[in-house]
Amino acid sequence: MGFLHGPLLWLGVAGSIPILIHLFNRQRYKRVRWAAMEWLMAALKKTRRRMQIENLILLLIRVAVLVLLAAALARPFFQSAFAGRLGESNTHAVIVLDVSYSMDYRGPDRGTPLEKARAVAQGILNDLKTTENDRFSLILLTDTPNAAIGEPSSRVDMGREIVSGAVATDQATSIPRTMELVRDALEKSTNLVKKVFVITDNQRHGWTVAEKDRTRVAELFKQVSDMTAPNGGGVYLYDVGGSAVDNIGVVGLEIGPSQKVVSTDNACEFVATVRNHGSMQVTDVVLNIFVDGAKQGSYTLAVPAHDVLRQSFYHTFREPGPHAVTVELEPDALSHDNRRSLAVDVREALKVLMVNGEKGPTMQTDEVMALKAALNPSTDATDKRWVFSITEVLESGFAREDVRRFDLVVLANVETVSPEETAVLEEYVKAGGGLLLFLGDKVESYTWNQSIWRNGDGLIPCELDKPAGYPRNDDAMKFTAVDYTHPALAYFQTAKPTLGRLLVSQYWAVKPFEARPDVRVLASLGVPGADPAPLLVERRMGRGRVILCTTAPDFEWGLMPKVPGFVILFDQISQYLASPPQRFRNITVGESIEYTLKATEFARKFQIITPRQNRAEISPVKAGEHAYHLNFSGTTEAGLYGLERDPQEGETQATLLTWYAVNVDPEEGLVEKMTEQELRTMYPQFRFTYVEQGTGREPEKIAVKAPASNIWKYLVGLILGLLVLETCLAQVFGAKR
Amino acid sequence: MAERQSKYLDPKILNRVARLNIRARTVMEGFVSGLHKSPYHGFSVEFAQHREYTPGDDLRFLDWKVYGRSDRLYIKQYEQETNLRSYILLDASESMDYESENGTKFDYAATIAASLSHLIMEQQDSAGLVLFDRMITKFVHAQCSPQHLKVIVTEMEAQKATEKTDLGRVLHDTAERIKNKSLVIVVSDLMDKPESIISGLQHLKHGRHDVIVIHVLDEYEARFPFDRMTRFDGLEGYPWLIVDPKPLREAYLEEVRKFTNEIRRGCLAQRIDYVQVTTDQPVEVALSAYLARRLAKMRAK
Repeated sequence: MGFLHGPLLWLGVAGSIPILIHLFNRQRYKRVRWAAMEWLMAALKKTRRRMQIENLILLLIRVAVLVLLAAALARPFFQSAFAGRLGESNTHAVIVLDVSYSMDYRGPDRGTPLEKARAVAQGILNDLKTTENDRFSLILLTDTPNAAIGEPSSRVDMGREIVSGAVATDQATSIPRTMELVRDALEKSTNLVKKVFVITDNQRHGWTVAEKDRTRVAELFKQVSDMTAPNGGGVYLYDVGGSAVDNIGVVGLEIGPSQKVVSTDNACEFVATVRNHGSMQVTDVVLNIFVDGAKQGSYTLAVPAHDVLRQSFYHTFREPGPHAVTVELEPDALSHDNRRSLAVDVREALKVLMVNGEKGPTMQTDEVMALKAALNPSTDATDKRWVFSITEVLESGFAREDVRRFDLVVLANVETVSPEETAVLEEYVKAGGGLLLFLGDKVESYTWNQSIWRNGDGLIPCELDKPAGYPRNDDAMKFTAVDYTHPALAYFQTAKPTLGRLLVSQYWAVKPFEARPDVRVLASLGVPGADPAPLLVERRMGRGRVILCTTAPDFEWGLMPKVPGFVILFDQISQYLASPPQRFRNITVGESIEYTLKATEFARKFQIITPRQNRAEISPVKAGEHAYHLNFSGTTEAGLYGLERDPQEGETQATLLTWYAVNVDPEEGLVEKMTEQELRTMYPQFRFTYVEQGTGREPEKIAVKAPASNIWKYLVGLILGLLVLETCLAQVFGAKR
Repeated sequence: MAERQSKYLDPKILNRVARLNIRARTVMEGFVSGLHKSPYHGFSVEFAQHREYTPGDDLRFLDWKVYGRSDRLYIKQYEQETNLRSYILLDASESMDYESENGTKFDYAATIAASLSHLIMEQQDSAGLVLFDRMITKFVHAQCSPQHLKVIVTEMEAQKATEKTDLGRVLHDTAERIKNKSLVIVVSDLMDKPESIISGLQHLKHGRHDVIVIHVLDEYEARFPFDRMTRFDGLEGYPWLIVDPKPLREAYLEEVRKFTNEIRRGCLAQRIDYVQVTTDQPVEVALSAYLARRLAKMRAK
């Protein structure tokens, strides 16, 4: 026996009220002197036993009424079979149906896990007795799970319709995220018995969480277990996945590592990564290449078992603007991960604004002359061999420039940056712009710290301390502690000596700063007899990036421009900073499409074109004082999404602003299962019943075991009966008196 | 003294009794006259009957007129009128000290006693007083004088009701102490064993006394009107009891009926008048009603 609202049993103490009233009344008496005691005692002797019995009967009835009332409010239930027949079923079934793309794996038996899952879910729905008190919720399990029926419902027909119409999405699995919805559904439940049925292929990837989230997820699983544990409820994990794991898929498509910017008329390298998840080597795998929808060629590959193969290919774009590259494998058991796209923004040139803080006649003294030469040595504006197109202004002219026209802004040995200029730069960086800051002898640390550092909230993460180093270049220091994993320095992974020849004699010492996720020290200076001094420090801000170089790009503070490594280093850094943020154009199914508008575009109309060529109008959303964003969150299927701007006066057709490549999570293609034992080891406090389909451990009937929960109705009837009895007895006893 | 007398000799009561039949003679006549019939046939002023002369009779009582007419000797017999002696036995035990709304039973009983004494003396008869609780505490011999009434009233007022009752014993003692035939009026709440009371009454009756029992009950004792939890502190040494009186009422009244019926039957068997009065009744109404009944009975005889 149990109680649905156990704490209400405390109301049972009200049963003591009649006793207390009785005792209280015994204490509240009138006192009289009495002469006829003989008669009184005789009467008492005659009636005492009868009165005691009558009073006891009435008292017991009154106590029973109050105790039974408390018990009825606490909603008692019984687990016995007899009580089961007496009561009604009262179960809340939370059905979690995995619709991730791995559920579409068509194994040797030609059936898919999703088909089995649908059958299991229909069986559970059929078992529900919704004419009584049973309710259900239906949650579609993906990495962005969706509560198809979140509120406890009795509409089984609607549930059946959703289940029968459920198809595999392009999304991956995240059981932890889904469990949050399960917990929400359970919190809404008022049913006595709570059961959670997770019907999944139990793919390993679905259970994977970051190490930092492990504790939180374990606690979540424990919560769900605890919420379902009482009254015969529980979590049932139905494994509908098969044993076959053979699958091959495209797990990556990116621009070649040496190239950060795709420009017109230059052959651009792309790398497609194909993974064989199976245990057998696969040969004759055909990989087709498409650019802007047109097939460009194909490769026949042989991919070893449990291995990946990277296939490079090149393409030269003739026109600037948005382009899409797609690779596709021929169909196999799981088709969702056979195709992958990449949205590419092809540029004619990267526009760089260089703010010169110390103009000089020669490269020895001029602050940006060496840097300009490194990025674009040509003096011919029509020379298209060079990626960078440079505009140089003096510090005094910086305020007049519209930085939004540039892909990269370089401040070189600038004395001060006003708060207004800082605000403009911050907005520019947050919108995706790149900012490269060089220090030098002109820098006035107080104003820099006030505006650029701003206690760590500004563009740079570290506070400038003072100039340090040696006045003579003979004592110059070398780079040390270089982070070769950073894209801007990855080139030097195989050319470390090149970087080793860069020498710096003076630099700005910075005060120690705390490690932050958005801050990364790319390289330091080896200072003799002291700790390495940060030389290149990156901070991510919004969509853009800032790199602070604590020395100057001239000959006064070192000999960097003197060696070829200077050209390569700042070419790579500049490309890295100025390259369009590809990450935001290449997203995973379920992620939102975001686009930052120019201030002049906020009144225009925009449309998203889905892979199925459906069009959805999206409206700008204000994101700052002069900033507007477009946001589209309906990326439910993989493919290319186009963002178009409707034509305005004078234009004949819409303008394609960019492509967005929405790809599946490649890890979902690994259909390897998580075993029951592994799960129990990983989450020891997660209590569940593991049901592997096809092994004879079939789904149990929900309603049959449901304990009787409507005992309260009988109790209320009993209470009413007792009240009537009490009234009658009181009348009868009273009449006697 | 006059003030103190007025406590039990309420002029208003006396006046109203006087205005009623009894109090206006008829009842009083019935009450007193009936009692005056003397069993002793002496030679007094009132002729009673003739009887034949027998030797030894006093020749003074020969009726010569009859002898002259009939030549027979008859003796004239006269009915001797004697003064009535009455004793009022007034219960002064602790139980008589109970009162609910209309004063103590003792005060009520004392008022009855004083009123009757007054009326008896008004008829030139003598009245005495016996105060008792578990024994006779005061015995005032019957006399007839205005001063004697004061004595009676003073004795009543001086009485403290603190002791237990032993009415049976008191009746026996009284029977022993009153030698001449008297009217004995017992005014009590009769808080004693019925058999003991009846035994005492029998003893009195055996002494050829005319006995009247006036049973004084407080109205609460007669009705038991309590309806909430009550602690009854017993008088005369009884313990206290906390009871819910409502469910007890019927049984209690049954006990009262049972007791009074037993006493009533005992009195009837002894030809003793039994009168039950409650303290909520006006004394004069209670008395006049009884006296009217008594007069009617006497006339019927």
